[in-house]
Amino acid sequence: MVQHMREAAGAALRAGEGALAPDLAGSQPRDWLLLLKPRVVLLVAYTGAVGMLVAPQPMHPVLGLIALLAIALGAGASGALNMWYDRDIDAVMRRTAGRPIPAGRVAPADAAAFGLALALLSVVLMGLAANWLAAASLAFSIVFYVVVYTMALKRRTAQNIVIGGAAGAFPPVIGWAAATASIDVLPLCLFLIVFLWTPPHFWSLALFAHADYARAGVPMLPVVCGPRATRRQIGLYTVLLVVASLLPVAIGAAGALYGAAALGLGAAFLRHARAVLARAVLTDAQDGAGRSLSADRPARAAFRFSITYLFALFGALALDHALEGAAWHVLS
Amino acid sequence: MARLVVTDAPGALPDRAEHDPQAVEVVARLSRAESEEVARRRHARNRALAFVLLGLVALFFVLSATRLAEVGDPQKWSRPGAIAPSR
Repeated sequence: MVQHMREAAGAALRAGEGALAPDLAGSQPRDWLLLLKPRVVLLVAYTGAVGMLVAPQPMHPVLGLIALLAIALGAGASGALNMWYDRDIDAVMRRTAGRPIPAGRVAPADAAAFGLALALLSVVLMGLAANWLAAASLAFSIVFYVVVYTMALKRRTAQNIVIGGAAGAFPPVIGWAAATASIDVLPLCLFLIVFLWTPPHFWSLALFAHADYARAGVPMLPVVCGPRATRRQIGLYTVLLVVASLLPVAIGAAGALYGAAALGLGAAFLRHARAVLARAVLTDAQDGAGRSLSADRPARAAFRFSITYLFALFGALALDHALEGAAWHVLS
Repeated sequence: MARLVVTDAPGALPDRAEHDPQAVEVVARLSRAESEEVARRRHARNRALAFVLLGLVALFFVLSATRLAEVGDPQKWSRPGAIAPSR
């Protein structure tokens, strides 16, 4: 605390009159929200909600909303702890240098305490609102993301996203467990879909930001194996993803509406993957800040579409369930 | 023990009436606008914290009320060994 204040004052003095050091000014409430990675929270809560909605046993709406809040808080806690642990590499990367901790607006210890408190609250809330199987699953997903992915894998292996991506695949299982106090084949299919979606999603990002990752020393696939191998892997995982997306239909848990959506969205994703794979240049020229000089449009488009894909696919599943396969009856 | 002295008068010396010989005084000279910004952010954090705390109270109240309402049905009390008589 003393050293922190001394450095803050020194920074203010060095910056000159009128320049307020960020940690002297203090954080704003918005900074604490940013710690939670709100876009990731939104995606996690959405997939968790779909897992809850497609469960055969409906939840009490109030308890369901609270369980959903617990999932969101757990995801936010994971994000805060990830930002705490990765503050050193975040400070180096252009994409993340403006985050609250590397920018000096939130102290690292405060962020860690915030994340731990939120994690505890989310698990307790889930246990009280739903059941302890869902709470245990939520706790496991938080520990997996923070310890296995962030601390163990991210800085050590190019397969960090593949294995660590399992953390993002838990929410539909947690949502289902919250509603039914059990785990069944359909939530495991949803787990597999998100698990296989994660590599092409993040590797597309890494393709046009690999210089940023390289500067930070993060062994993302384009940094370790080069863009060409990464493009092939994106294509492979996209094919696997499209196949997996049809599993709910194959096991009889989804109808024609979802099947048609999965096929259409899968075809679009495969087109994007093909465009990424077909890119003629062997390396993606980037400036020192990690910006693509060749404007790797296929990779950027694939990254943006991957988000749309997941939202639309899960939305189709929820809609299909809501209509109780009515489209299938109409067609048959 | 350290003491951060913040003054909005550039060049003004801190009050040394309570001088602790082992203290390290760090003087940060802030303009009036910067002091107001610091205070504004502190107030914003306090308001946000109050909102979160009240929200937590409301959340646990709603959760408890909903849970109690679920077991309010006497039919659900009709379990072997339960206090309420079975119907």
